[in-house]
Amino acid sequence: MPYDVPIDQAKRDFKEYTFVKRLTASEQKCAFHVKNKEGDDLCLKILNPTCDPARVAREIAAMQSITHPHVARLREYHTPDASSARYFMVEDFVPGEDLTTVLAAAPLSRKAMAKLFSKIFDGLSALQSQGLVHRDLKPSNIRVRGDGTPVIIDFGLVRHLGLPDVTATAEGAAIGTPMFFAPEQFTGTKRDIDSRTDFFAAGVLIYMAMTGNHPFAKVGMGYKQLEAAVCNDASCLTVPGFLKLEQSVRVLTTKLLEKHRINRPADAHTVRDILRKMEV
Amino acid sequence: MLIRSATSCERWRFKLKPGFWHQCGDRSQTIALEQLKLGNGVGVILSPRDLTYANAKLRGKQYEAHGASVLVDPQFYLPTSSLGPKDGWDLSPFHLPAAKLAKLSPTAVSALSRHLAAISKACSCSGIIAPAVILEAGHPEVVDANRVLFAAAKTAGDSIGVPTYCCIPVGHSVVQSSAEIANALAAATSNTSSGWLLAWEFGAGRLPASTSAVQAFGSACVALATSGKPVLHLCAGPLAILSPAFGCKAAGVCHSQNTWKLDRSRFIKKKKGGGGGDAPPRYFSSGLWGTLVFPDEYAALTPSQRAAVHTPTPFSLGVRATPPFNRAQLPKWDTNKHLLFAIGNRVKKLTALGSARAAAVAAKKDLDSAAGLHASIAASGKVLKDETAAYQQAWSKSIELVLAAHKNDYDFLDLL
Repeated sequence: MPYDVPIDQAKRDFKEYTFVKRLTASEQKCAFHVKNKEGDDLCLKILNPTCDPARVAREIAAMQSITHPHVARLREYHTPDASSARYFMVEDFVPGEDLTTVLAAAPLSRKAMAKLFSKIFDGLSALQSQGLVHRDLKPSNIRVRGDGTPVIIDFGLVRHLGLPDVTATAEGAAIGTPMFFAPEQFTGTKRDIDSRTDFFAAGVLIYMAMTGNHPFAKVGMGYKQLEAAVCNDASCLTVPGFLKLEQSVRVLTTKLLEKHRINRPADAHTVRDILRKMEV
Repeated sequence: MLIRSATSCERWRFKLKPGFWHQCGDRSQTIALEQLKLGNGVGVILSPRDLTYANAKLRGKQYEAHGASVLVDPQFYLPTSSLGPKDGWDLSPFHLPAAKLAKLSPTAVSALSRHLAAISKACSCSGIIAPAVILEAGHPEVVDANRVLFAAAKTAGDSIGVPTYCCIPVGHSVVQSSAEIANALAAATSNTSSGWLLAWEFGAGRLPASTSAVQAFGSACVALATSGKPVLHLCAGPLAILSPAFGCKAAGVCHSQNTWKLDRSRFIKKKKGGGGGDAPPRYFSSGLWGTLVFPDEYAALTPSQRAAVHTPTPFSLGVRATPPFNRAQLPKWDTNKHLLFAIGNRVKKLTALGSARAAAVAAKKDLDSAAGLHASIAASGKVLKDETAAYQQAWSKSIELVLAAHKNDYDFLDLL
């Protein structure tokens, strides 16, 4: 169930902001489009207090160092302390629409897909260069501006590979959204999570953009069935809708959707460069 | 915290020069310089096990002056082995068991990092090879140790503005199982490296003659290559003909047979002096992709066989395709130089094809031709020593199997 904070209460708690509207909430957070005193459009995310405050604090700190056109800038992050019980983060607000809306128009042309995803991989390269893994890359976490420029948002589950993990679960890697899980998120441990986990999710998104279908999820499928499909089923690569795609798209998508991360590209730059070649 | 945007990252990428690298073992530093002067090789890898620090600094400058990239492989493969670094490197305090390396204190990691940066600068290196312990099945502490060692090296590389390469020494206990290989490589490639240096511990024997063993190695190379970062095949020896075929950008080769695979015996002190005694010279033939005894076996061939075996290089000018033949035509050290030049030539040609698939097809053609030449020599009643005909067919077959099993991977490599 999405975490809910009534907007009136939010207004009382965050007097420094002017509230514009409520945004889509998730289990972990309730989000609002707000403006600060300077008039900047921002996204205020009030985190569910049941979250472990230490869970992402250090990773979020690393996020603050990234300035990249395809990564939403995290301006502020606050965990409860003696001075305040508030637990929130403030990101740049990205006007436009979710990637969900763009994908609703799938299949996209090769050129349109490449133009969009080369920028997404450019953003992922910024995360990778800082040793960060998003862990929850999905359509609703990618905003697309009016000019078609995508921006990766929502770093609530980000993990810094160079720091000891402090997530609540002792060994499990199952954090994120199962529809976009890589196999290692279903079956692995936290040690199995790295940038290639994000690349798998991006592969799912490219597949959806090019075919109009999710590669693994089917209507009525339960968690266990989805896990089995993601971990063991590669039939999505042999269906006519996929086989009719241009070879370069098939080759790249197949690599991104490899079951074992060792067989996926390990470098976001490399994928970005391949996609850039497809833009023409 | 150091802020590195994606753009600044690009400067660090793909600095690993493609082609033939001299991987210096014992008494091979002068040979490497001589070869560079003749245009054979794009880089040199030095090792603390084979050279004093003072000499490494001197050599590094010399190699760099001849346009070569220089790297130092710290060789932590067996960190507590009896043959550690030579004088001056000061790496001994870090030669600890894997379990202790995995738990190095932040102070010790910083000290190692500073030390690696200093070595890199002093030896004119173009990058830093992260120290690494040989990966063993069922030893997660080695994975942890290598992660700590890579982090130290990465900090060093970032601090002096050079790329950091992750060394992946794959032990024999790992290469037995494809699942173990995948897990070992997956863990190693979690590191944010600028490239991979792969060393593979094949089973007993001078060169691997098992199709499945070479196929497993080939699959690992292809997996690393499709990561999008360059792969340098360490301890390649004559197997370097397969390096470009399996997607590697570069191959490190030394003349010594104990560097033709990841060989633990190199790190264990021998009771007696060792050395090859007064063994007759082995003449490396590109046509055979192997060696034969010179002049005995060479002289016994028919003129047409000899013409096919003949491999002219600047170091074998005395060896002719026609009689007379005598040992003075191929001095002992020239056999080593000749071998490096011949292998270097082939690696250069295969790398220049610019496509792993094209290199695989060309290498397979060469190996099939070599197997045919061996067969024709055998059919004429001559048996060449050292089992020199034992592996060409297996290597050719392994190329065929890797190409078939990794069709999409080779297609992907073509996209890069």
